[in-house]
Amino acid sequence: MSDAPKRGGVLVRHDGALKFLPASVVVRIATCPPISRVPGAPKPVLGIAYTSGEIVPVIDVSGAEARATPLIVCRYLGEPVGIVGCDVVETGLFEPDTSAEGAVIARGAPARSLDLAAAFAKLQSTHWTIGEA
Amino acid sequence: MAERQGKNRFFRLWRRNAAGGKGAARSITEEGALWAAHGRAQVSATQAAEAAERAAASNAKQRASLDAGTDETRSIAARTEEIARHVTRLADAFERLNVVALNAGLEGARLGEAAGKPLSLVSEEVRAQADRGAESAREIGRVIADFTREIAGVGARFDDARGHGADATQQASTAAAAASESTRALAELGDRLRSATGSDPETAQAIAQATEHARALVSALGTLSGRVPRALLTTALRPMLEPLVRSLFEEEGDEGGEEPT
Repeated sequence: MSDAPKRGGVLVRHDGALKFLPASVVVRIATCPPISRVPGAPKPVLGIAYTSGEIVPVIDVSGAEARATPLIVCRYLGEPVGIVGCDVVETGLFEPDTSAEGAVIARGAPARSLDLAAAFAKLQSTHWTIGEA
Repeated sequence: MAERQGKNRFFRLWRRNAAGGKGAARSITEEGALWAAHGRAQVSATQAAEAAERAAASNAKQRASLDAGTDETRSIAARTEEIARHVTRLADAFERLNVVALNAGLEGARLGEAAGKPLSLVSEEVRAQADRGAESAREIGRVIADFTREIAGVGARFDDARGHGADATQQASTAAAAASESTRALAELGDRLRSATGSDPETAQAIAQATEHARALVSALGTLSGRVPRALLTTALRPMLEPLVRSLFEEEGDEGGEEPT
């Protein structure tokens, strides 16, 4: 056990692997509200949803068929974004994994940080298409 | 008057039987058998008509019971759907409770290890209970789904039974009509038989009985023949036989016959 302070956040299962989202990024977890599709939006964007008084774009990080999972509302670079497509396993404080930045040790195994930056980059690099629903 | 007419018919037929020899005896025996068969057929037709009526009444009761059973099955199915909706809401509530517990854990983590520990502990406990509750709700949902399928099966079997009951009612109705027609046909047959033979069931039966008794008497006399003096036998039988002989030949006399010497 290291002397480094524990990291608070959300442990999720993404594509079969445990991933970690720090509490500094996650605003709250909500049951998934109805999602309104946005015509022409690139594939990871499922649409927009209204939750706890604000409208958030919803991104599916599963890469597979969308299914009923909780909505994890995050704030990334000051912008709200909702994430679906991964199961929330646990919340709380976790031992840091010093071998990788932002990673923790959870349930005896390392859990790397869920790469929101990559998801955002992919989203911003994809062109919106008129006529694609 | 009617009694005398019946008596006349009896003796006329009986004499025809006696005078006609074996052929006539066979004929009157056949008539008797014919009337007996006619009587049995009438009784059977009446019994068949009554049985058909009872079957129709039983079918009506069965149909009422099946209707009641079908209504109750539908009511149970509706109640089951209602329970399923409640269970779905219960599962949803546990799901939301789980999310609340996750958020509590997240807030506990934000507060830090020391300050957030009580909140984290409560969060873990609530999540554990919510998970158990959700699992139970899912199990109840599965049981209700099985139950709903079974109720649908029972409803289908009730529908089948109603269909068979309707067939049975139709068959009972057909049997009742056939029995009624048989009764009418037998009545007509009786009339035609009466007209053709000049006899009726009661007379034919009486003649058959009289014939049997006469045969028995002749047989008894044959047994006594040679062992008892004829004069003694005549003396003993005269009080009984004289009225019989008188009856027979008085009737014949009425019809122009002669009394034997």
